[in-house]
Amino acid sequence: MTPRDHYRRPANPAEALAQQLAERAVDLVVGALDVNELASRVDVNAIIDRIDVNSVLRKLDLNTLVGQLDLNALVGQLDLNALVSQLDVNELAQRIDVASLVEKADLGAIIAESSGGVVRETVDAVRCQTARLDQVIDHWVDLLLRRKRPASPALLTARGEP
Amino acid sequence: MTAQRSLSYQGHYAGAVSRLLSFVIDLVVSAGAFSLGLAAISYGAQVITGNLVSWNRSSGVVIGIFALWELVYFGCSWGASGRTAGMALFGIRVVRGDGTALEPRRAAIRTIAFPFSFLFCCLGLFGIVLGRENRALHDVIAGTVVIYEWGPRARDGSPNPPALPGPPSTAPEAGA
Repeated sequence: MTPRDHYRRPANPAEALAQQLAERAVDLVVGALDVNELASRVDVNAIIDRIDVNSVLRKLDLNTLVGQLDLNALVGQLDLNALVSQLDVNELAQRIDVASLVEKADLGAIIAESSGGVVRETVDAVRCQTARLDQVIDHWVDLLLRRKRPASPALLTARGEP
Repeated sequence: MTAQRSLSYQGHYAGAVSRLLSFVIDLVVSAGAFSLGLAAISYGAQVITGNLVSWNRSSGVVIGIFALWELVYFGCSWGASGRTAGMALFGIRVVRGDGTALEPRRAAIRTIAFPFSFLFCCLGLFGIVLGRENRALHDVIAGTVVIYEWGPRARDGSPNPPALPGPPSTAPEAGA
């Protein structure tokens, strides 16, 4: 069914003839039109300039639009293997400015941190060894004096308290 | 492993070895600082007067100044943080008998009493080895004790570990 079929068919034969003539004329005009030529004459830029894009965007509810997107389905359709295989990793690596990266990285701080950790561990180990020696001496003194050291709880240092 | 063992010592009375080694370190540090000070004074005097100034280390004045400097070094260190450089190295701290932080007044009393522990063949230090709480004479006079305090929790400034229900878990083996 064409749009023309929507028009009410005239009951009058004269009107029907006029209708057929008009349709024929329209067909002739449309057939004679060069649509490409017509489109080339249209100033699309002028039309776009007259459109208030900001107004259109303001009316759009982007949150609703984005919420309706099924990102999982989109990602699932991506062929990541094909994408990765097309990457030229060597070329990418060549583009990386390693010297600049090294300059930006605070190597001094990294080295200081790591060496500081080693020193800290060493000092802790020395402290543990001396504390262990303390215990050995206490143990021997207790044996010599034939006494039992009571299981005293650790004292808490309440820093900042009076 | 070391961290776990470190935690087991925290808050317990420090023994003779830790205290002796820290004292030796403190003597080296304070004597070095004293020598540097003397050298700086000599240099300054030489610049100002133009004459060479030297110190007779065996003179009573220099020995007296050194003794005074030692008291200042230990007193200020205990009063400021409860520990000297050597004590910080070996992870021990002076606290009050109940475990709370040492206040300056008590640090001053401890400093004044400190020399008396060295009288009569260091008789006042015997308590560190023989006493149950490893207290020297100056600890008894000032009402202080020396405890272990270092480790991950003490280092990052967070509260110390909770009280442990007894002596350190790494007790020496029998007959060790």
